Amino acid sequence: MNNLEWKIEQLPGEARLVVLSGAITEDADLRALASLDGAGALSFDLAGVDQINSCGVREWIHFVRRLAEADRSFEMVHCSPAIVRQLNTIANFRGTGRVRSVMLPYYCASCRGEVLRPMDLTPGASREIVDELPCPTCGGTMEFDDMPSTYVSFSS
Amino acid sequence: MSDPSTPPNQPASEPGSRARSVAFLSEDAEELAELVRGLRRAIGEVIVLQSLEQVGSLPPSSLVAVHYDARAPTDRNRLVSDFGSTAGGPTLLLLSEKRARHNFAQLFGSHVLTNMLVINGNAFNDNDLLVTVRKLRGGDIFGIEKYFAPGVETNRLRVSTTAEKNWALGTITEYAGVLGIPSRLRMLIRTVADEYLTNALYNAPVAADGTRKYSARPRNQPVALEPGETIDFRFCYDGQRFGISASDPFGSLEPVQVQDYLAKGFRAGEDQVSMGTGGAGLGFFQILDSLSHFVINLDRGRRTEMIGLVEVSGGYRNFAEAGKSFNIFVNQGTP
Repeated sequence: MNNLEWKIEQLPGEARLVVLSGAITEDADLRALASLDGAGALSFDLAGVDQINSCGVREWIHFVRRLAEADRSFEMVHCSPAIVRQLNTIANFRGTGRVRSVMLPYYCASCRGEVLRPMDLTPGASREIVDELPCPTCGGTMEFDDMPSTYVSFSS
Repeated sequence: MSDPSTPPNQPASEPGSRARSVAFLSEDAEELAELVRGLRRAIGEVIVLQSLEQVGSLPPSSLVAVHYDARAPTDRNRLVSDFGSTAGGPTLLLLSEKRARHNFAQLFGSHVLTNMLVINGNAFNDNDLLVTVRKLRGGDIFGIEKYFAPGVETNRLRVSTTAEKNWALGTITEYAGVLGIPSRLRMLIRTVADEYLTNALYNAPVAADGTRKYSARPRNQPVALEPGETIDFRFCYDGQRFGISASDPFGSLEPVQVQDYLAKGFRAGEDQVSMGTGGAGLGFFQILDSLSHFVINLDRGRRTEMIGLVEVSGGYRNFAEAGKSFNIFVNQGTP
């Protein structure tokens, strides 16, 4: 199974970074993260979350609601394409959290290589999605592997 | 052009039940001319209608294909209100070249949408159209093989427990990886397989008195099906599309339930996700969102088969640009 895992890193001050990876499903128990002690802001790095099923969506919404009830501020960074899909289609998926950045997927049709590039969503940052990149594996052309016009529509 | 005869009053027909005559609704004779010619070669007579009013003169068992993109928004609304209010009328097959996603909430919510196919312009080159029409006209509805060329090998697993579901998910994900399918598409395949098997294990089983055996059980608590209740799980690949199917021996799914869950999912309102125990009410939405073509075959009280096809010939963008097809077929042939 591709179970959800996380590690917690202390940031300057009381803030903490939680790096999640794997799948968010009915087996993901996020209560421990919702009740992390301390008053500092939480950042969730979601670059490594590659799948969410329907029960996982519900677990995540329970999680962000618990954070809101605890008056805990949080942000989502490096949101993977799987997370971005949910942000675009599920009401209240981010709750009271702020999405600071997403990962842009690129695909090379020549060598089937895949690359993720971060995109900053903080106010003032450019929202332009570069459609093509050189492939680091074969030297061919990688194309942005989603719909450029709607990929970050949740943030508009 | 054929002149449709005045129909007698006939009993109500189910979405996707036997549809004997086939009609295309098109004001523009050239709009779907090649499609009509192709279908005529394959199945015989195809009637061409020039206005929505003529639909009312067709027998209720008819199948009416409509080029959805070509219709004006007001006409689309009329289509929804006319077909939505005439239960037991002709079966509607919407044909679309574009992504009709922004209309899904309305189409599913009105219970009009039981059949939508993505078409490639006017060209008759799509086996799925022929398979769909044949199934709607009363042919055998079951089997993932219909959507693939003869000779494509189908892998088959038997699933009876939650542990076997997890094993099957690992197997199909590994298989898609060996084929070189990009990671994002592999995760779509895994998601669909996950939702299919969860539905077949937890939602489908009914007791002799008709009550659902496990639907209220939290999905992280295991279930084990009785002997004879095993899920038949299949998957295959032809170089262009990846196919997945799960078949249960209960036939307990109701088409209107599927439509309501899909409408709720696409509306994206406060009720989108069920927050209690049991299912999240989001499975069908996640399935359709992850597929190029979602097919439900139902024989009430006997069998439900869900089929999913994912376009994997390119990357995720290729999949996303290709649009979505959807069908519910109800077998009316058994007593």
